[in-house]
Formats: sequence, structure tokens, C-alpha cells
Amino acid sequence: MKKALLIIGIVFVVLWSIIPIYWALNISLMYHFEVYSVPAHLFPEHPTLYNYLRSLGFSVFNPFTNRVDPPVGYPIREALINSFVVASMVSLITIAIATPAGYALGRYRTRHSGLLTALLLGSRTLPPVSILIPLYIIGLRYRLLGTTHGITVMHLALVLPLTTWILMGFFSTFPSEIEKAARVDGATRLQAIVRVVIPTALPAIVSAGLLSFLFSYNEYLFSWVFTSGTPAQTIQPTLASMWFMIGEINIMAAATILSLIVPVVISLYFQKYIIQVRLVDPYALAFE
Amino acid sequence: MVEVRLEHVTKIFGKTIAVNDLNLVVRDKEFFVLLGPSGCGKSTTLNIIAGLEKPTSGRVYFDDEDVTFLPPEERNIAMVFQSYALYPTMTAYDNIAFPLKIRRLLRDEIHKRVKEVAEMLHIEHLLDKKPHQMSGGERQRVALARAIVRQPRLFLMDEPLSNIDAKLRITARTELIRLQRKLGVTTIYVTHDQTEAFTMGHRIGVMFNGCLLQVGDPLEIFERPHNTVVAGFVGIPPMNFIEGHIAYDERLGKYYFKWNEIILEVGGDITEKIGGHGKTVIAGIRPQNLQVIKSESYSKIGIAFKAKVYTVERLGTESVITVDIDGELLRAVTPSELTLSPDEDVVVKIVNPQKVIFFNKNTGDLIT
Ligand SMILES: Nc1ncnc2c1ncn2[C@@H]1O[C@H](COP(=O)(O)OP(=O)(O)OP(=O)(O)O)[C@@H](O)[C@H]1O
Ligand SMILES: [Mg+2]
Repeated sequence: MKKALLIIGIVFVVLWSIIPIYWALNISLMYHFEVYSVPAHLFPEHPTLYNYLRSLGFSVFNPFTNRVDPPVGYPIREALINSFVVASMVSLITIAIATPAGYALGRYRTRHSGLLTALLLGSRTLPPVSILIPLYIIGLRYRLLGTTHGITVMHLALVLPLTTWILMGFFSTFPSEIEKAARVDGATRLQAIVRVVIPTALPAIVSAGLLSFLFSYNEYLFSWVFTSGTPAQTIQPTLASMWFMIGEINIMAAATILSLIVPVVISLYFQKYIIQVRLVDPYALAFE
Repeated sequence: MVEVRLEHVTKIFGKTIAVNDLNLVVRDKEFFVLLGPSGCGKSTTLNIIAGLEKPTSGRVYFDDEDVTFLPPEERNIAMVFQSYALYPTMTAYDNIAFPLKIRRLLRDEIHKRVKEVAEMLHIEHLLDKKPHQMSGGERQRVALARAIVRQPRLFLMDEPLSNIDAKLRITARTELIRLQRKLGVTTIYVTHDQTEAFTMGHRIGVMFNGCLLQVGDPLEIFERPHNTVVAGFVGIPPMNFIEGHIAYDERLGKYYFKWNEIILEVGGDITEKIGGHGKTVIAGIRPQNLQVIKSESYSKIGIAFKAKVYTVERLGTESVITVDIDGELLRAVTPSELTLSPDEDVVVKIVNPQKVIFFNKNTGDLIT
């Protein structure tokens, strides 16, 4: 009985979250005329990649109008590329900065580490909007608006405290004896870190990188403020503004589905890292 | 291989004095055991010798070389940790090979040496496994193999046997001793287990609250503990302490220790040191030195006194009997065949009066 309820619950939750995506996928595979048919079609009658190809900048022949339709006049492909580039840079730089910072904070207690930790956490308790205006002014001043590296910097400002904090937590529970063993075995401090600590911490480091990739890729507010209407426009503001700019719902659906590909692939491929809730228990993780 | 000397080593963490003015010489090729209760600073001392911690003050010498500030990787020592600290991402083979790879030995040479130690420790079948695929005892062997693979000049072992089961621990103990004798490498072994200390060590250092209280061979530590702290810590069950006073018998011209019915003759030199008649001293009697006899089979030979059985703990071949003498509880070890029940009246005899030792009441130091 309990189990049945549980299954019903799960099915409900899954349907709840999957139906909108299913509907977008369904529409994205239809020609324009089929989208508004009544009653609505649960599956496309003439499945086609027409919308996808047009979104990505190709001219496509439409057999129902006997015309070649031009690409969508909106930079969807460019936005996808921008988002991918920004998110990649954000995650790489996050790894490069948060790993050593988290290691130092987690491993060594200094006089100021309490304060530093409080600042890290404190910066996360502020609503992101509250730093939007100051960051906008900084962006204006240093010509970061409308540039790919500009939005990268903004995303880093948002995501670094959290990832540093996560890695700090990881390294503070990381068994220091493993590193000590490497030192006694003849490794210098740097060698011990590179050859023993980092390989052991890799799952946590990759998780932090993926977390920041997904954050950056999915972030809307700052991306909108800093890049909309510029060549650096990323995919989230693009999707949001298509409503006014395109008006073809099947094209919008295709763009939406396209925007999902990267996060879905990443989630599936790196599932074992993302499911690492055991981030705080490196032994379990290391011996996995 | 090397003689290790610690001079006035002190280590302070914030407000904790982990190691307090420690002086110690560990001789070349010796198996030295550092024994003490949890938190007394054993690991910290070992870490200072390894170079993993810098002492707050004091010096560390390997032979005549001052290594106080030498980083661990330049000391040519090997360490086995309590948790074994195997590298989780590497196979046993790579774990053992790590110290050699770091030293950039040739592949063939590495391979040869790893195979050699693996054979010596019977772990050839484990070489492809990762730490999480091994049992505690197997990890311990791999950790040991990693330590001996490069012939270091000093072994440091931090409770390497405390995480394996009792039976395996006994075999591992013998194996470790055999290995140490064979390799002849100076070894400092940390433990809080006195059986381990007494069976393994050439010499033992007893640590308490950051201080090294006594260094000596096992018999010395057991029979002539320098003070009540060492005496109380060493020996299972712990030593009995009774507080009595010195009495002078003018008729015989002799000094005696008196407490209740117990009257023990003490040498004049001891009495001299504590000031003679009427002074209070503490007598230390090992439970093994007390014999419990049923009242009916008692014949009046030797030093004996009446007591009441308080509790009986059976430990296989032996029993620990706690007896009550006027509210004072003393422990005695007897063979298990003797069946006693609580509240039974018995007679307790001191088997060997010469082995009773005396401590100064104020300082707790042994009076010799
Ligand atoms: N890095 C550190 N920072 C602060 N205090 C420490 C540190 N390392 C050890 N201590 C303290 O120093 C004291 C001695 O610790 P140590 O680890 O040397 O004890 P131990 O004898 O090895 O104990 P155990 O048998 O439990 O391993 C303890 O009170 C401990 O809390
Ligand atoms: Mg310890």
C-alpha cells in the first residue's frame, strides 16, 4: 500500500516535470500548420527537423508550401555557442581558483580563516539581485558589457563563493594522513598535491566544475542584463526574448530543446559525479 | 641505520601542550615503543620526528645531523599510519611503487623491488587491487610494503595494528618483529596497547600528558616504575596502591610499613629517604603478587591478611578477584580453578614481599 502510494507519487512528479518538455519536443518536430490543429496532436503527423535546421541558420524546403524558408532571423546558434563558451570558461576558471582556495581554507586553520569562511558564506546569503547594480556599474566602467569575457567574470563572481565553500568542506574532511604519507614517501609538498591529493579529490573537483557549468549555462538574470541585444547574447535571454522577436511557437520549441541538449548530456554523462552527495565524505568517495 | 635524538622538544597547539620538553635517544637498530594513553602526544612526537610537524622548540637529530627543519621528503624515513593512508586512487602495486617512482628509479628496478617486497609479505595476489577492495589486514600489509620497499633509515609506525582484529594482530606483531630484526632498521612504534609494547619493544618510553615519564626495557618499566602514574598505567590489572605509614620497632631495630594487618619490613635506606617513623608512604603491589586463599586452607606462613571477596571477574585461565579490606579495594590475580563467591571470607597473601615497591606520597616518585 505504502509502496503503491510512493509509486503514484513518483509518477506524478515525473509527469509534472516532463510534460512541458514533452510538449515542447512534440511541437518542435511539427510544421507550422500542425501546431494549432484541434484537437492537439500528441505526436507529430509529419515529423521533421525543419524547425531545428532553421533555428541553426539553414534554409529549409517546406513541402507543404513548396517554398524554401530562410533561416530564423535571430542568433540562436550564436547564443548556443556563446553559452557553451561562457559556461566552459566559468567552469574551468572555477576549478582553477576554487580548488586551491578550498584546499587552503579547508586544510589550514589560520587566524583569518574564520572571517574568510564567514565572508564566503555571507556573500551567498545576499540575494543576487542586490549585487546586480554594483556589478553593472563595474561592468560599464571596465567595458565588460556585451562581451563574452564580461559575462564570464560576472558568473564567476556568483559561483566562486559556493564552489570554494563546497571544496573547502571537502578538503577539511579529506584525510590529511594520505598527504602526509606522500610527503614521507619522498614527495615535495607540490608533488604530494599533484600526484595524490588532486587525483583523490577529482570527483569533488569535477562536481564543482559541473555545478558551475550548469549554473552559468542556466543563469538568466545577469546574462540578460549584461548581454541581451549584443553579439555576446547567451541562450537564456535569447529564449526569453524569442516570444517578441520570432512568434513562431514551433521554432521557439526547437530552440528550447536545442538549449537543453548540453545540460542533459552533461547530466547523463557525469551522473556519477553529480549524484555525489557524499561530497562531504571523501573516504566513501575515494574508496568508491 | 640511524640513532634518533630528541632534545627538549616541545610542541604547543594553541593552548594545548601536546609534547612537553621531551628528551629521548633511540638507539641504532632498536625497536623502540612509545606507550601512552590516547591524546598524550604520541602521534605528535612521531610527526615531529617525521618532519610533518615543526616543534615549537627543541631539536631533533639523526645521528649527528640536525634535522629539526628538514622537510619530511628529505629525511629518508618511512611511516605506517594508523589509517594506513594508502592512496585511494592507486592499486596496491602503484601504492608500493610510489616512493620509488617519486625517486625516479627505472621501471625495471621498480618492478623488481615491488615484486620482492610483495613476495616477502605474501601480497602478490593483491597487487592489482585498490585499497577499497582490500580487508583491513591486507591494507596493513600493503602499507607495510610501501614502507619497506625503499630501505629507509628509520621506520615510524603509528598504531599500525590497532585497526585489525585481535587474532590477526598477534600474527602481525610477530611478523613485524621478525621483519624489523631482519632489516635491522631503527624503528619507533607508537601504541596505547601495553601488551603490544611489552611484547615488541626492546625498550619502552611511557608518555603521559605530553611528558615522557620513563624509558626502559619492559622488565624495568614493569618492576621499577619511576612513579605512581607509570605504575598505574602499566600492568593488567593495574597495580594496587595502599597508603600506610612507617613504624619503627625498637625491640628488633627494624623499620616496617604498616597498614591495617599488613606489616612489611622495609630497608633502612628507604626509610632514611622519607624521614623515618610515622611518615606516610604509598606501597605498590602488583595483583600478580597477591594470592587469594580460602580461609579454611590458610596456614600461617608469610605475610597474609584477612579480607572479603568483593567481585570475581573470570578471564579464562585466570580470574581477577577484587577483595575488600576495611573499605579499601585491592585486586589479585588467581588461577580460575579457585572458585570464590562475593562476600566470602578469604585470606590474602603477599607472594613476594621484596617486589612491593614504595612511592613518595607527595611527589608520587619511586623510593629506591
Ligand atoms: N593539529 C593539531 N591542532 C591542535 N591540537 C592538536 C593537533 N594535533 C594534536 N593536537 C592535540 O595534541 C594532543 C596530543 O595529540 P596526539 O595526536 O599526539 O595524541 P596521541 O597520543 O597520538 O593520541 P591517540 O592515541 O588518540 O592517537 C591532543 O590533545 C590533541 O588534541
Ligand atoms: Mg595518535
